Amino acid sequence: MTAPLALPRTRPMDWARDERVRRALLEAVTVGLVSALAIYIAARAQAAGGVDLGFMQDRAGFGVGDQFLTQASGRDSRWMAYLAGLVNTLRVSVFGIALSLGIGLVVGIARLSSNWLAAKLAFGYVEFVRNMPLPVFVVFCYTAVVLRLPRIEDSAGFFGLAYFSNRSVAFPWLEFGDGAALWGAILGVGILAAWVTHRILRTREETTGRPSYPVRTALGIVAVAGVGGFLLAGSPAALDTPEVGRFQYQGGVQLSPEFFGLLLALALFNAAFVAEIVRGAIASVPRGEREAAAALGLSGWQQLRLVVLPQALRVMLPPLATQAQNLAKMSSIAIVVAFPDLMNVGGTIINNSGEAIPVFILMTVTYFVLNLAIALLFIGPQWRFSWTRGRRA
Amino acid sequence: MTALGLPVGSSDRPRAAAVEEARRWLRTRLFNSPGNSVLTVVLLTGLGWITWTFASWLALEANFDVIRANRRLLLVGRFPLGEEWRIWPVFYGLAIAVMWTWGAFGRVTLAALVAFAVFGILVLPVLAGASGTLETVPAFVLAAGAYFAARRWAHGRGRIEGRDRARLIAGAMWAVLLPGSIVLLLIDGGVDPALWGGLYLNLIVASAALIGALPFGILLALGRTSSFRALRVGSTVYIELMRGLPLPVMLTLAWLALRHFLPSWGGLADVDLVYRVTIAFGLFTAAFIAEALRGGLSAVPRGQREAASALGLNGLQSLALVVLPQAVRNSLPALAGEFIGLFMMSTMVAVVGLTDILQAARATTEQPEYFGRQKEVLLFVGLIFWMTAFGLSRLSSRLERALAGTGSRRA
Repeated sequence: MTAPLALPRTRPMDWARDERVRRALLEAVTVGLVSALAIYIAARAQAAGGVDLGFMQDRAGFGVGDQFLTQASGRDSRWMAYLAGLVNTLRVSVFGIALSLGIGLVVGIARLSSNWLAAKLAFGYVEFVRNMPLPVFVVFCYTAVVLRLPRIEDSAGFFGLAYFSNRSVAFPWLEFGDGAALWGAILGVGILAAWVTHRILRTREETTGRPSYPVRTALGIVAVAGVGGFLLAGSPAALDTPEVGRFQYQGGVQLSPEFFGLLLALALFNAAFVAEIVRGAIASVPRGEREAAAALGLSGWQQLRLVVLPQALRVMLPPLATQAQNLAKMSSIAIVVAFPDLMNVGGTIINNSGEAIPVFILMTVTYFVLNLAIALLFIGPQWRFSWTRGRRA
Repeated sequence: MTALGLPVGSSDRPRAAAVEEARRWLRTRLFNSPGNSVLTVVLLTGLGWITWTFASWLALEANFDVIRANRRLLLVGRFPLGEEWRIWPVFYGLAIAVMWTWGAFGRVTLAALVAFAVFGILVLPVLAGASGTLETVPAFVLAAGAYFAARRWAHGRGRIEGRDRARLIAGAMWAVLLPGSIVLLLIDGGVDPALWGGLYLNLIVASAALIGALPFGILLALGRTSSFRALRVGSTVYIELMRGLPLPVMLTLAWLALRHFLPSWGGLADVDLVYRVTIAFGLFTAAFIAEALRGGLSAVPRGQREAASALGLNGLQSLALVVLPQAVRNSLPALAGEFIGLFMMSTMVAVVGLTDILQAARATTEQPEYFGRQKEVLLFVGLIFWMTAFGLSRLSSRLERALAGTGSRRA
């Protein structure tokens, strides 16, 4: 107390007691350990093949059974086979995400319905699916549903439009003729015009307060462009409906049982999770919002569309993006029904080239890019409905 | 109401009231608007059609002989005959531990009881055959006994210590049972891992992976929230890598390429596929456990740590004694969810060709006499997973509620 400012003399080992020195030492040790681990893994990977992808240019030596847009044969390079697998993964993911979002939205809203039966059925569906492993679900949809469909000769028809059999499932498809490009161009211009008109009318509606019907006008313009262009180009497209042949369907678009079974399982499975996200998001909108909307005289549907859903969307978009990424990742379970997706083709390439590590690095990167692409797809709407940017908030 | 002295002679009054009540319920819950009325009719038709289809299939077409004949394959795969003593204790232990835990943490609701009774009635006759029936009966008796004992102990009047002890015993049961089941497979010469199969393989893979993943996941969660940059970056990269990778890719990696990364001493690089797959599950699950724990860690108030350091605990002590116990408790429901997910995802071992219950089920329908019986077998497999997952998720929500009240005493 008598000499509070007299600092003790530094002694030789005092630096070892300094908190900063200790931290720096520990920091150095952790950096060393973590980089040693990273270097070890990288060295092992390098020793086992590294990132040399030269073998991917060699002949694949195997055909991909189920292809869409691609035509990879055994004589093409492994890259072509890999691409065919990637397209298959994209195909099942895109349709799976779209279907599961649609079904999930309906089921999620039904969970909160005032209709007791609808709410209970939706609840039962969600509980049924969520406590079931996905592989069991996929195998069930494939072996017990799709493969148990009737034989192709006695296909189950759907008003002569679609056919279901255990060899393939056929849907109608558009067949384009000569003037298709012209029709497409007119339709494109129409959509552009509709978008511009929509913006102008919406701004006018907001500034003047007079109803200007931006959505209806825009839809009208698109409809006129579509129908007018179709007639102007001389009916360039016809509906190509499938017909039952002896061994396969003629015309239309045909889906393999593997693809159909997998898609069915993925869509129905993920729809349950989407439904829970939707329900949670809608429930998170305060009751008062809806009551206020009702007090303003909005109808039930208007309350949902204009007040509740825009706010719920803000809450549900991030988890929906995660769920969509999950679906894309889960689609790699395709191998249990022998659908040649990215993972399945990658496995075949590993088996016939013996190059495990490079293919794994390639697959990892591909799935990461796919995840990133899905995240980006959801960022647009997220930005649109965020608190700060949203006009509708 | 009637017992409280309603005048005799108006016995149709309550019935009329009940009818009126039912009518009002129908009017408000099913037919409150034209749209809803249409919806109700449509849904009723659909529900009726599904029920009819299912019931007529069950009554006329379904034949569950395939399960009875293959119950051994489904439950334990190609496990050698005469080695069942390694499995029965686990079966008994599991029955006791589940019901004891339930008794210690909550009450079996009527709905759950009915569900399990239906399950038992449906499954037991199917599984019952020449052998195996008698051995399962004591398990049910023991399970019921454990439930009532734990319940009596935990909910006796004013016995908080009893409750705590019952819960502690529940934890100890699981801590012994999970590693014990694996030890039993390895002692006394052991059973070739290639012969592990069926539902037992799913259980073993899931619990072994969980045991391995828990400490690793804790380390990763601490690493990710650490103030040391290298640890933070390393853990984050690892967690995000695992979360971005599909599980089947990870399993194939374990199958075909894990040996390149394992050190070669002690034959570690050439361990059996089952071990490698379990390692892959563990590595994968650790990332998700870390994320679940990170939430629990961030929910521990800063003051706890400051108080610990004010008491003179050093960093490691405050972590192990103060922060981690609370973080684990906070994230227990999420961890239970991870285990349920892990158990269900263990059916993905099909990807690398192991014969778990799903693959066994698919194999049964390749026997000529059971060709085309996929629906029956897969329904059975689905039901097993469904009951387990449903039961575990209910149990974990009970656990969550039970633990929510003990925060102030345990911290």
